[in-house]
Amino acid sequence: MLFADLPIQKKLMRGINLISGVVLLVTCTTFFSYEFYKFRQTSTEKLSTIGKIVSANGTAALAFANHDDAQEILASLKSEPNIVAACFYDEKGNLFSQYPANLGADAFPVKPEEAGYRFSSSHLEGFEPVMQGSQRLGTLYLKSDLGAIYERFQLYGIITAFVIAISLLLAYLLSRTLQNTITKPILALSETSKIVSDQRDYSVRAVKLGNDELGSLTDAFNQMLAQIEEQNKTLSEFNQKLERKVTERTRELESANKKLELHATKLKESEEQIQTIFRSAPDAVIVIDEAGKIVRWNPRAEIIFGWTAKEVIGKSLFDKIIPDRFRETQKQEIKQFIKARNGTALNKSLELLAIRKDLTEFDAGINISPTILNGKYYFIGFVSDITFRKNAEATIKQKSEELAYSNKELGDFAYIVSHDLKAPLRAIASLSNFLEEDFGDKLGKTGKQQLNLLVGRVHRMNNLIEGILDYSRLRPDKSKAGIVNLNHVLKEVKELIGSPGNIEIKIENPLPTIMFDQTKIEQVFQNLVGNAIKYMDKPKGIIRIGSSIEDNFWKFYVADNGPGIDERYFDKIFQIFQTLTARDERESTGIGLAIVKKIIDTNGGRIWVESQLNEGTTFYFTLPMN
Amino acid sequence: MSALRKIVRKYLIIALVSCCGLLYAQTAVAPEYQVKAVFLYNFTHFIEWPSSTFPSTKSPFIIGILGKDPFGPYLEETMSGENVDGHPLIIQHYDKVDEIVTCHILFINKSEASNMANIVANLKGRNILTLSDAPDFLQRGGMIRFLTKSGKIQFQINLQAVQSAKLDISSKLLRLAEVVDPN
Repeated sequence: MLFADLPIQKKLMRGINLISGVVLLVTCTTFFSYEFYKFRQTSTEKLSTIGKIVSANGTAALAFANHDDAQEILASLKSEPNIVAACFYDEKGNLFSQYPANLGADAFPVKPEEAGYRFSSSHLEGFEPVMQGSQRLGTLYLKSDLGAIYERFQLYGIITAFVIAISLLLAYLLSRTLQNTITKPILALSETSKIVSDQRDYSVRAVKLGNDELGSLTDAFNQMLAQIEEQNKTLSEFNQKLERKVTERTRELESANKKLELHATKLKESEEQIQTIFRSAPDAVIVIDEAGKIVRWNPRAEIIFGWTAKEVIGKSLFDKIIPDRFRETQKQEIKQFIKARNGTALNKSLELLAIRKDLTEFDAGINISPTILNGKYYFIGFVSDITFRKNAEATIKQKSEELAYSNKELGDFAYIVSHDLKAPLRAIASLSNFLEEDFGDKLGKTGKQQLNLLVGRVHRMNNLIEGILDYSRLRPDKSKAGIVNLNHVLKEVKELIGSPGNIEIKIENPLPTIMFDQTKIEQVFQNLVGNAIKYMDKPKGIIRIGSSIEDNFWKFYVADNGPGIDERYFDKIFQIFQTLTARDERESTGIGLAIVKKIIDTNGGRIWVESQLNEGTTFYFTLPMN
Repeated sequence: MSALRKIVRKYLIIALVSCCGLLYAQTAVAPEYQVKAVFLYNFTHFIEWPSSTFPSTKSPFIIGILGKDPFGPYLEETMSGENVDGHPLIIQHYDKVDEIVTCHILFINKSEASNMANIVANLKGRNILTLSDAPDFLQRGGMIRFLTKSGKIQFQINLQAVQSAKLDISSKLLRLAEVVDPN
């Protein structure tokens, strides 16, 4: 494993141990070297000193060739066990005296060499001149054994190794403790950062273990985390906003799409409808361009004009279907429209003569509408063969004229008959009166009774005739229409009828003011309210009147809580002379509702009844608001 | 050129012959005096003379011989080119003690033994180291006496006499010598 890849703990340990090892090694080596050098120097100096002393002591011995003395001086070297050999050379360089005495002569250099001390492989040896004053008397040779030195250095080495080993051990133990204080926060940081990167949890915080650089680093890291968290929050908020926006937009788009689809579908449908209309229209549908050229020609057109679509598409419409004498006028119309965007013949129904393929002419109903497609004007023409309609119209006109005449005659007849019938009836009434006045006492009780019956029937007859007169007189006459406040009308009607005390008439909401013939609307309400009172069978009668608006009509109702009408009679009650009770039971002509219906019908309204037996009856009628 | 070479050769031969004659003459001297000449010279290293004995730094160091010179050429050989603390060595021969003016070491031949007391007395109070082979030299007031013991040349010192002559003698020298009290 590369050093760089090692965990920081090991790095630190190795680093510390390596450094302390190197430091120790360098220190020990330096000391060792220094010691070695120093030792050699000291040894040299010591030997040199010894040499100087011995040589100084030996001067006299040499000067006076005293062997014993020289021997004695050399023997003093015994106190230096390192010195294994020594000797004096005399002035001429001959061996003069040696130490130890029993050593062979070959143990010493034959001749003295240059003064000074030298290290050989295992010895330190040197020559010291023997001087008395400036006089050289001989030379001293000294040989020192370095075994002791090396022994000492061996000891030194062992101690050094021991020291290094102990120091390294101590360094190791110390570094274990020390590195903890450094690596612990780093490991904590690393652990935290691992959690952050693994779990993407930016809310965790590294624990600060001190106020050193690692502490600042931890602070900075935590701060950074806080910032990231903050930014994440902002980002996620932004994201959420964005998502919301996207969702919104998507929804909008979807709805727009749906609308578009719907629109497309509708368009397609409407296109299909148009196609269907185009194909199956009862009229000829013809589309022409600005120049009057035929663009489309539907099957009905084929039938009406006898030209197939193939034959006419691309041809001038006017040439094909307009008789020569109108052709120019029509062309001018189209040109006029394009120029001025309007024309007298456009957008309205026209009736004119058209020409078929077989050159027969016919009455055609034409409606031409301009339309823009891709920036160009087109004209859609609807053409129908109105020959039949024209004929029918003529017939209807004739028939209605005949009907009006006969109606008038009938009215006149009814009036005249009624009028003429009234004269003899009046005579019968007068005669009955005379009979009672003149012969009342002679008639007896039965006679009187019968006479009274006669008078009653005369009255009834008179009423019937009056009713017929009224009914026949009912003709729509717009000239009599005026502003009528129905609230006033109802008030008058109530006064006119004089309702009995047990019946309450309630106007449930303020009634409108309308344009109507006042006499006739009075007739309507008088009849409806009068009927309700007349047939009321409950001890406490309630009649409710109200109005509402429905489409463009006023809708009125007159409701009672009377006996009700069987559904079978809902139509019958509006017919003239129809009464549901015997005439003797209730005095009725059976004309009132017929008149009401006639008034409502002739004024564009409708009247109908809703009822439940024993519960009551409600009459509804409508009148157009204008 | 050959003429010059002949001349050089002639002188070389003369020089060689004279040298041989010298060598022959030397061999006639007793060998112990060769050693004694060296000793005589070596004493200068172990003894210090008062500076008053040297009027200047260039003043010679004078070794005198009273009576017959027993050293032959050895003394000359030993001393030639040497000096004592910068003082050139000069050898002087005296026949009578009266002749001595300035002297540092005086070797008195034993031939003068009969007159020894007189000589020593004469030199008393002067800074002169006196040496001799004479047997009762120290008893007569002499300072150092050479003697031969079992073939080795040794010396005896009369420390009192040396000290009274105001000479500083090295202990190293004293270690080798036999210090004798003449009284």
